[in-house]
Amino acid sequence: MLGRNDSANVHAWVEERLSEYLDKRLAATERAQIEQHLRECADCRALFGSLRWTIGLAKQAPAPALPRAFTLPVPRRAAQPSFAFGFAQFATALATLLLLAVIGVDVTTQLGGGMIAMAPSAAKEFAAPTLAVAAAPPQAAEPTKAAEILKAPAPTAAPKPTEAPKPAAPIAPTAAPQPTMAPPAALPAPLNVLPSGTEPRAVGVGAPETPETKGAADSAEKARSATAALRSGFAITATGTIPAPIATLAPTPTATAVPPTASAVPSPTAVAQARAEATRAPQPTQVPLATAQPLATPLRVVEVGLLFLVVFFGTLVVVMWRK
Amino acid sequence: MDEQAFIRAAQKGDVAAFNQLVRGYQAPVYRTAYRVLGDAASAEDATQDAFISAYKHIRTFRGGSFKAWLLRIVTNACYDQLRVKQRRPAASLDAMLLDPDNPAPGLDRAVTESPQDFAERQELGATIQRGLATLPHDQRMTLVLVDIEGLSYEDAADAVATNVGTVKSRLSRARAALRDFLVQQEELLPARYRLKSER
Repeated sequence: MLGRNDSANVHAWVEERLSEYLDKRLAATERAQIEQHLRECADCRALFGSLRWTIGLAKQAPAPALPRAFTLPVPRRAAQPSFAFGFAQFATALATLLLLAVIGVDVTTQLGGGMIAMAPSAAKEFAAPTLAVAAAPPQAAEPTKAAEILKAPAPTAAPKPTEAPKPAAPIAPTAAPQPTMAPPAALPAPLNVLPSGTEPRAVGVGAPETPETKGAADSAEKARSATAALRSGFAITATGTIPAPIATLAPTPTATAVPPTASAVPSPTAVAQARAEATRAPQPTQVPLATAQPLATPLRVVEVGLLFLVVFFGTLVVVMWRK
Repeated sequence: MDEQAFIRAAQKGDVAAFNQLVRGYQAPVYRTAYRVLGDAASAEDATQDAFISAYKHIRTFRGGSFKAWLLRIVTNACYDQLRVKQRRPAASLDAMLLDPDNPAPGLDRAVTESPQDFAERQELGATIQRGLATLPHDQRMTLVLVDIEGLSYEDAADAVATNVGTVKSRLSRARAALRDFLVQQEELLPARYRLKSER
């Protein structure tokens, strides 16, 4: 039988372990001792009941509602350059480089062409006229200049145009003379030349359209006398009867100089071709511009296209970068 | 994807995976903070600080109960908040003395719950909260962790950085103190929550 102190100690011992007893944290022997005491002690049983009631209320206590979610903000990943952005950057850079390259080629072509056209003109006196001729239509050539050129000896005049060689358009060796100053513009020339007394011969040269005729000399004499008669008062008419300016340009002084054989004599058509080629002589002065034009046009188109691409991809890069 | 996978991903810096863990444990973490601190604003701050700290130190998690690990962190955050409150006792007193018109702010009413039951539950929550406020911090923390959050003694000891024997002792004293408080406040409790009904 327990005394009063022993009984108080037992109550205190049980009370201290009721919490663990409720949580079933006690060993079997201690649990059995407590259960035995609870059956015998109403006060300790009441303490046990109130403690279980307290824990029950604490568990029943309503949980407060969440005021908000506590998830952490997901940091935005470092913007990795997307494929589209990289492609736009690359395309912009490539288009810019190509544009600069094409512009460089364009500028080089323009400047280089002009320099080449100017440099070879060693003869200063011909530099201006040739440029003038190049700039102006053939009809603009002054008759006086044409006449002077015509009067100039062919051998001396010939080398000068050839001294302006153009890589783009090599000059034909036959492109001799200034005489080329275009037949239409040279038409007045015969008027100046004819009075000098050469036209009878010229007419004679124009006459032998049929080289087979051996009596060319006689017919020439007749024609010469006829034209001489006409020249006194109808010089213009006489010149108008000149078959072609070719006759006036023919270097042969007389028809007798024409070789007797037809094969040896250049046919009028051949002469016309030679003249036609000669008429192209001034073209060398037009070579720089004539060759630059067809090259410049596609270059401009390419430049405009590349410029458009640069602007387009550049804008794309800026827009994507801002995003 | 299970919890361990989310933990491993979070340990590699995956915030989205960590947020999955947050969604799973934010309720007990906030509830613990609210029971310990006694007011919603401080509990919210402590919960937020706890999850930020957890994300920063999740590499130190070496397994075991992730909930216990989180509750240990929120316990530390609560201690920090309590220190702040001690520097401002007026605010602490106001926080502990709940508004009688709104004793348990933020409680959700169950769909099937009648208005009377909801009101009685609110009254019980307010009474429990007042009883917890009378306990020392350590006892309060231990009782909340074991009786409300259901941690084992070992996990609770780990959460409050003490040993199991101390937890047993603190818990026993805390329960006895809360019981004494509730017995005194029994007449204020709704009839169905009174001790007499238990007998």
